[in-house]
Amino acid sequence: MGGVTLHVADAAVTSVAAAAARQVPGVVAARTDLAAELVRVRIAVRLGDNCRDVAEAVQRAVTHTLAELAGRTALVEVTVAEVVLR
Amino acid sequence: MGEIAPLACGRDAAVVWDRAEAGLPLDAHGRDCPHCSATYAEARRLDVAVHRMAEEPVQMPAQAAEAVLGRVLETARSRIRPEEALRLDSPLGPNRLARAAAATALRAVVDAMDGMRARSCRIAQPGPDTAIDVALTVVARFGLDLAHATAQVRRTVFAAGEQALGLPVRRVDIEVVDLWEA
Repeated sequence: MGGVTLHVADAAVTSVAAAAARQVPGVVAARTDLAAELVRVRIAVRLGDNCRDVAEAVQRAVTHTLAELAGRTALVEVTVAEVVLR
Repeated sequence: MGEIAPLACGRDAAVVWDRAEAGLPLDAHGRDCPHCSATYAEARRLDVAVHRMAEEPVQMPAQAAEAVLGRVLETARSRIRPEEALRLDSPLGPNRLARAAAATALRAVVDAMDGMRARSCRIAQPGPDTAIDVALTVVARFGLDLAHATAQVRRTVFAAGEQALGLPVRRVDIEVVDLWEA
């Protein structure tokens, strides 16, 4: 049997990353973009959730999900762009 | 909010905004200064518009709310330059927190205190570590023990920095810029 090559398009990578970010408790919304092997994730966080901890949890979730589902090893940088008041 | 550049006349724009928001007239310098007058007029127009919008009932379906948040984030992406963000520690590599978002959080915790309202909040992260310095202007209810109340604001901001932002607070400067009568 011949080998199989898997190519995951950048648009799919950013979609997977955004979906993974939105699963993290405290994240209200997420957007992603890809620059080379750097995945930039911008999130809005609920007031009261610890921004540093949520950002780190998003970073872990996106890194893990990209490796698991897309076979991509990427550097992930998270920016908390908004704190949403309840 | 990032650092606010002073007006061309050297005056802090936040001081002019505070007077406009409080409905106070300009002082002698401000009345004769074209920069202060223009800033004051702009702030008054904005204040009127914000109050009109705040009085309008808002009914937003979940999808629309998500769309709004999306637009906010898109806007934030174009605006957040490296110098406008605070560093967040992470073992997987540094993350960032928009100064404006951090200021929103700290203002909200001050606003939740009895008799205190935040006017402006500036945050600096001067050192190589992630510790921040916070400068707040606040208005207080008339009759409040200001020494006690500002000490409470200081403690609250120290706690909120760590608990809500994840950033140790090194210094908190508070200026009471006005009083209101209940």
